[in-house]
Amino acid sequence: MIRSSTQEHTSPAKRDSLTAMALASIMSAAPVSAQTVDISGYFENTLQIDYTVQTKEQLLNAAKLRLDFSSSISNGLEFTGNINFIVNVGAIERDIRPYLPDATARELESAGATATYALDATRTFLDNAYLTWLAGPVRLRLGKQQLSWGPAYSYNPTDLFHRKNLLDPTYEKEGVTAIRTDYGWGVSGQLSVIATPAEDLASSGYAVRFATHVESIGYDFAVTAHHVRDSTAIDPTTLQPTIQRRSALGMELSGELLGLGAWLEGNYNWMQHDSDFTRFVLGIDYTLEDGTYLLAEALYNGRNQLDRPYALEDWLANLYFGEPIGTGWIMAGIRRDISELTLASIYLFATPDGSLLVNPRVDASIAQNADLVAFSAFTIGREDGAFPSGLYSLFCRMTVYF
Amino acid sequence: MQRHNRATPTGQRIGRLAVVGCMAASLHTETGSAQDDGALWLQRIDTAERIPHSYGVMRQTITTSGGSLRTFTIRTWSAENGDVSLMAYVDPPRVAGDKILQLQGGDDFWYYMKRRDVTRHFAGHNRRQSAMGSDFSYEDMATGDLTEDYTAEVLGFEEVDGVETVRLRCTPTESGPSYDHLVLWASVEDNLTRKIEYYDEQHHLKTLLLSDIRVIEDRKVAMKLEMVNHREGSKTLLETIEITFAEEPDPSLFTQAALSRRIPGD
Repeated sequence: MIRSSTQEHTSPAKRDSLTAMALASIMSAAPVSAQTVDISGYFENTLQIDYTVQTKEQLLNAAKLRLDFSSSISNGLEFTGNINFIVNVGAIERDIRPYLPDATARELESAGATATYALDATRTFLDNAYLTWLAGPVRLRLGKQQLSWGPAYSYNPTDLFHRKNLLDPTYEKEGVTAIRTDYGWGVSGQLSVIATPAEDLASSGYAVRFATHVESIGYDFAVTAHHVRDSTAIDPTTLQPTIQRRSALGMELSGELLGLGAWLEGNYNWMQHDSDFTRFVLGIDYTLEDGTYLLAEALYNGRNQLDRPYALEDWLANLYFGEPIGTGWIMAGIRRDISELTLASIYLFATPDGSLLVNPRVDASIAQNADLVAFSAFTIGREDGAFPSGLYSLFCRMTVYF
Repeated sequence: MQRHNRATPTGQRIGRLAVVGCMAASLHTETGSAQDDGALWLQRIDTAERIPHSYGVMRQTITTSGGSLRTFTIRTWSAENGDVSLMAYVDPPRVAGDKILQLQGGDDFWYYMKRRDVTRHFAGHNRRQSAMGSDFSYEDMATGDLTEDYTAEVLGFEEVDGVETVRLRCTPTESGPSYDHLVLWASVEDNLTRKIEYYDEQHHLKTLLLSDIRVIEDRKVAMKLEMVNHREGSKTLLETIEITFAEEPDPSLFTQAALSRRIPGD
């Protein structure tokens, strides 16, 4: 079946929806140090329970050890990296049809496409590993590294290198092999130039970001440009990834509006084979005097067809590459301390097609170096909506740091 | 979530104490007279507690209402009379490498999460949130001028732990912190703060106690700051382990770009 072959979306970007979450393994990460090599890290165990009427409950347990290393090689030259070891036990092979609308599942069957997805029982990988060379305001970074951009919370249209997990958007993301140079000025001025090497120069990815603070309006402002090889779309005839060049021009803006935090992040995308499209996120947030935090975000996605029934290729791009489906969503969230060491939150994602995703979450510090996180997701509303009804997932993750 | 805000100047005195890690004053500070003039007292306190620059190591211990303890070790740098500061968490491993950068007296701040290699710019309202689960909010840790952030009224004079103090009611200015008002006790002799009570419109929310005052490099330093949270029943103790005012930190420390870099001595 279709496997992620994207160059730019290095991490398996199939975790962007409840469906994707149900199929994806849980991974995590942490820090360290090392000419003396500093070593740190964490062990994390995640139990995931998924339920649909067709599959009943399916369990997946992911045990993950992350080891972080860092070393100051010489003045201005540093190494940073981490290795992850993950063991998945349980329902590692999944049928994707229960996570699709019935009509879409039948279409998949009639197309003769494989309808299963398998996670690796064990996975060992270099998550991040890079050298950093500092010379005054210039920073050169070589290796597998984080390239995350954008102020939005649930989805970052201007980040063509990583994909967030919609249900756990602040979780770590796998690094991307790149050559990156940053030039900084002032407090927050930054020019970043990135190249992600591939077989040749033509197929490599390139990105530039110019960011500054605009004192006169009190906003952070950034312009981004990408020219990458994209494989996040599915060819409707072959149901295989479409490999194409993708160029994007984006903008980020964040600041304060009428006492609210406000941000805008979006881009326009020129596609080699598919239709060009716009995608952006608009968000606001506010903290009440008692510390309760409120958040709202709207995603506009101009890439896919705008209304149900969504095309099979859109669903597959959603499952495998984390691409949004439909027009987008409106998200509202609330977060509040429920005790000194426990934080509770709930996020709702509503789509114009009438489907809804509910994502409650509790984060607790259970010891000096131990955290417990529990979050779940369930969908209600239309069976053929962007969040098809009847999907339930629960995740419990305990992490011990050392 | 954290958003950018270049809000109007705020910040409050606790910030200078918490971030710099001490309360300090020249030993040669002129002894304050007991004038019934709130503004003058604020000015005196500002002058007495203004620290051109510093480097320190602090231990922060959070005690929850249930008796659980969480202890953090933090390195701190400040400069420009406290207008800029950097806090770098050293321990425990869960947060080691995370940093908080404050500029413009705490109006602007950034949080860097080392594990994710992500920097977030906080919006103004985010300053009301608890800093690392402690009883200090980010707002409490801001480092603005009292005279900019408050108007004051002298309520009287009284002894606090054997020290003659002036008692002030401080009301935030429009650009000041989110509290309804504070009641502040400062020594009449050295103009240093000894105690602060924080109130919303109806409740006494928190009390800050400053103690173990020692002389470090010709300055008086409160080595212990304890914030008692009356609403939660918890408290946070901030102890200064090491402090020096001798050397001005490298200005490049106080930039966003420096957040993701190793700090000398790490």
